[in-house]
Amino acid sequence: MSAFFAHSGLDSVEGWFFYLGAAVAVVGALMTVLSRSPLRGALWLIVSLCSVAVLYLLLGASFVAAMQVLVYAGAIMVLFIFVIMLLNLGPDAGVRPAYLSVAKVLGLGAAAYFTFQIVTSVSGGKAQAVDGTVKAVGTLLLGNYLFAFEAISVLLLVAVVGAVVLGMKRLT
Amino acid sequence: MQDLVSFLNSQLQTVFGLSETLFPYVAAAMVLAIAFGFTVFAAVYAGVFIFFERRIAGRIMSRIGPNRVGPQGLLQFIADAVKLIFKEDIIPTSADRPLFKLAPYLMFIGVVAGFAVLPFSHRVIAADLNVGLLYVLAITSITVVGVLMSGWASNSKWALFGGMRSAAQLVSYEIPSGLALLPAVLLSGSLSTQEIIMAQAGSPEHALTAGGWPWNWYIFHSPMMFVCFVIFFIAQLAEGARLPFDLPEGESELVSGYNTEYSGFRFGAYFTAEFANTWIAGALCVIVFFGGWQIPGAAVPSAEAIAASGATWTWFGYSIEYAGWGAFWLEALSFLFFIVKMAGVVFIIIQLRWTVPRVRIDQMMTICWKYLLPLTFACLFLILGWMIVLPWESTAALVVRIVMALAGAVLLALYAWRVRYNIHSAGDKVYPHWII
Repeated sequence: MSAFFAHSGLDSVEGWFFYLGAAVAVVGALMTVLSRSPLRGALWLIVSLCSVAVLYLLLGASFVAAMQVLVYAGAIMVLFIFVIMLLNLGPDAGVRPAYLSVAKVLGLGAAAYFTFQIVTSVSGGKAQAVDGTVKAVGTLLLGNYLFAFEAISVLLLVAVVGAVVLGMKRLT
Repeated sequence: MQDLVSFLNSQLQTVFGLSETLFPYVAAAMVLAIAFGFTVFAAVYAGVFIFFERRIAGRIMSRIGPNRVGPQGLLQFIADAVKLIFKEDIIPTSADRPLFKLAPYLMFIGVVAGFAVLPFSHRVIAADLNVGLLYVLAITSITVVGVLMSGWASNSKWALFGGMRSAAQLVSYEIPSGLALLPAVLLSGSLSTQEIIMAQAGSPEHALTAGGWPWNWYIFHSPMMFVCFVIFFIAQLAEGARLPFDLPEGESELVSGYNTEYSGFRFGAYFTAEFANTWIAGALCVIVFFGGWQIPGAAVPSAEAIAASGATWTWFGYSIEYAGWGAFWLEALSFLFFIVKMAGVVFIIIQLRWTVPRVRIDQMMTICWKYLLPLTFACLFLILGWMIVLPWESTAALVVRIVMALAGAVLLALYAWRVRYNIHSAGDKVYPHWII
């Protein structure tokens, strides 16, 4: 029994927090999909994103965890909710029943595939804590992944310019 | 606080003979106790703050304000809290019940959790995270979700409008407020609140250059830094929905905004969270721009010296043992310095509420996106140049900082004189005059 505890990580506070965070993340993600009201779905997604931030924190990636909450929960999801409230979307708003069944089949297939992949690829053993300080992340972003970093910046700039152009057309 | 936990752990081991395997659980219980302490602290602070706010409002409007409950009305907030708790708790029948109930707590959590990284002195801090500033910005953004949730769940158009306005405002002003903090992060080379405070110090060799003097504060680093402070202050007013940015609860248009449908304790939770938020705004200003808890002339012992034990504070030629009772009083003094500076910032926040009119919603957006944001970027680049031309340690930079600090003192004196003039010219009826 004690060997089981040691292997599962339940002998430490971090282990308990991991299982708590992981369970809440999974429940939040499931409820995001299963909620009939779009607004509740978006709120459950915030729960899921915050729980993933807890998992990052347990891995020592404090910068990524803070960014996860700041950017996703604090800004992007707020904009999502903002749009849902602005359009006043009710349950099943704008979804055709035919599309819904296709989406269900595709979604379940993708979920089954990824679950199989994840379960078969987990080898056991503890995850390695990383150096998650701002300095380490900065060195990686502006060193090893400089090209990808800059390419994504250009991509975002294109999206911003595109949004401005679309908005301008509406005005004139 | 980490020190405190390990200290208590060793005490538990020696005094009560607790086994080592229980330590994590004892530590977890203590973290819960600290969190509870912060919640109580936030609530009491909000109560005292409301008292000061009402008295200052009274003074500005040439009346007295609450002065019946307790000495000078100081216990008025307890009477108010009792009244709120005993009010009937009404949930509208068409409301989304679970979300309606959850929203005030999200708001409260968002504010109270921010207290964890705000230091009161060198050792009194709940958690010195290496991403402290980001953490505060991130956790306070949770309040937006609470506000939006209450706006939606109330199923009332006033609440919905209030929630939408609030979301638009908070998401917009997060950007200038984050960017205005960036120069301080660049100067100190850290996001940790403690390291930002300790970086606001000159050479520890001499009492007049050691930490805590106004010329070591980041606000006087350069004219652009002063502009950054003003931008940050405005953005914090907007994020806390304080006047002139209280559009989310504009009484003349929206009844009371997102909390229109709330009553009783739930309304009290909103109220408390909103006022406790001014502590975070004030404390962030003090930490990043006003040297935090540093005592003028006191040189903080280095981290290596503390680890090696036998470290000392140096203060005007005196050596004060880091582990002794002298250091305790020194830290109490630094707590006092912190509170006084913070009270100054909070005082200005209160005064603004009763002296400036509310901005329109389009003006609010214009101020943020067309003025504050470009200005912050310009300041950021100019400060980067300034850092290269005048490094922090150079004598020229020190002279500039001293001149800036003198200019700041003149500005403060002018401000105090103007406030006094305005109050007296309006025919002040408050007696005795020393009462706020």
